[in-house]
Amino acid sequence: MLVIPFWVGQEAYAVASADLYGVLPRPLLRSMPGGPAGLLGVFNYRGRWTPVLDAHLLLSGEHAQPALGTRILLCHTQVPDVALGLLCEKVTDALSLDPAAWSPPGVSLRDSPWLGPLQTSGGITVQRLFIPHLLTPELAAAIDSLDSPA
Amino acid sequence: MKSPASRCVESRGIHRLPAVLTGVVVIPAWAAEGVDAPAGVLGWVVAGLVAAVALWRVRQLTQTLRAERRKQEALLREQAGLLATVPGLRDLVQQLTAGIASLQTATDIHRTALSEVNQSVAGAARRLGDLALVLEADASPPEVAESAASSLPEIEPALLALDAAAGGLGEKFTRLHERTDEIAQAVAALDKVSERINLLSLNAAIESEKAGDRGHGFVAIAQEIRRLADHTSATSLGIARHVARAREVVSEGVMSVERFQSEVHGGVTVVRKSMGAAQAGHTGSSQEDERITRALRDCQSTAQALRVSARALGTEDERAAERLRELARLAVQLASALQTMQAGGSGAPD
Repeated sequence: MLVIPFWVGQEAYAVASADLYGVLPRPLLRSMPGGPAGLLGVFNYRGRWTPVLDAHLLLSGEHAQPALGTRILLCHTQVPDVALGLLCEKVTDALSLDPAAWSPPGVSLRDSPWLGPLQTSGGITVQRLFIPHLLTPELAAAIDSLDSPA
Repeated sequence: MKSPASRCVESRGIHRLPAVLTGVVVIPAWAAEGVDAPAGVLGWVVAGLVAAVALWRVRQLTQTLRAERRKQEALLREQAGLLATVPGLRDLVQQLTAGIASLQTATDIHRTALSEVNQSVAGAARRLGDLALVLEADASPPEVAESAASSLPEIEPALLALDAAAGGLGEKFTRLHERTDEIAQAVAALDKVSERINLLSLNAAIESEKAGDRGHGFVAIAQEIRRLADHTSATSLGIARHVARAREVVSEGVMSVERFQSEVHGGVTVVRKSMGAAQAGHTGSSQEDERITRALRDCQSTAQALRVSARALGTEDERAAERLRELARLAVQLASALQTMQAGGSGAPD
């Protein structure tokens, strides 16, 4: 399976390519004051306002730094035809991983259900993210309310 | 090679359909020829059952065929999406090639300007060295100090010529500075193009994965394109480092030229003073000769420093040119990988 890795400090995370529409350069974001935690803002993607979460903020508590490799992973959501942007650092590569080689982290992560299993490949340990779990009910409701043409 | 439709027909058992339909026709015929009524009824019941099973099977197979067709259409859509990334990549590789050509032109101009600077500096240092040697030789035996004074009128115009040459050198360094800026801009443009190639190849890889088995070849080529784009980026970063170093050296050069000019001015003043004294009837003292020699030596050492700067610039230029050749090779490899991707897309198996 193909995954798109990104980095938070020295640690690598990945989103399966099957969960993605594609990768975009960081767009100009419209901020949403009072929005749910982790929501950076929204941007107009093909005529639809699309929310963007800061993966770096969710995973480390610090904002992603603007750089050439800081890009948006445009993910599928459980809301039909609504995409979710995930701002990540060092999105410059794709990895082919063995789908059978993922193993659970061995600890229960109730507060972060989006953190999936781990796999080590080429000396790099990658943790898979489950995008649908990133959508808290609050965020899903916010996305639902955005579900109208721009 | 079997077509997907015939593979589908076999895998779903559609090829057995004629046999089933034959059963539907033959069994009622056999029943109609039967002698006794119970056997005839049984024949009709069996025929009815066989017909119902056949109808159910035909319906099932029609649904399967429709699903297969939808799947084929989806795959074609994915493939079209994948191929849509190729023109964008082709444009970017063309931009990259054009960027490398403009970088090559800027570097060539830079090297020509540098060579001019080198020649001027070498000429100035040689001339100053010759003048100081003449003066030292004249001044060494105190009894021939007068002949040293006689060489002063030759030194003055030589120093004035050097002063003018130093002004020209300053202009050349300024031009060199501008060329360095042009190279830095070309490198920044290249970096942006390689970044966009990387992004597009990432999306090509994602599309390829969606295309399933058909896209696996594309995933590998997209990976190769990404590797080449990253290498291009790293190489242009290397050039940017050389350019930054060249900028520092050019700035040092500009300062050295200013110092050189001021020292040459100082030398001219010292020589003129000595000449004035000689004209007033005073024989040039050995201290005055020493002052002139020292002034000339100072000018010479600054000229030597300028030569060192110019040599350092030459080294940076050589390294940048080497990386530039590497960039040109990478652009050719990128274009070739892209051609493979396009050929693979148009000739993809059905």
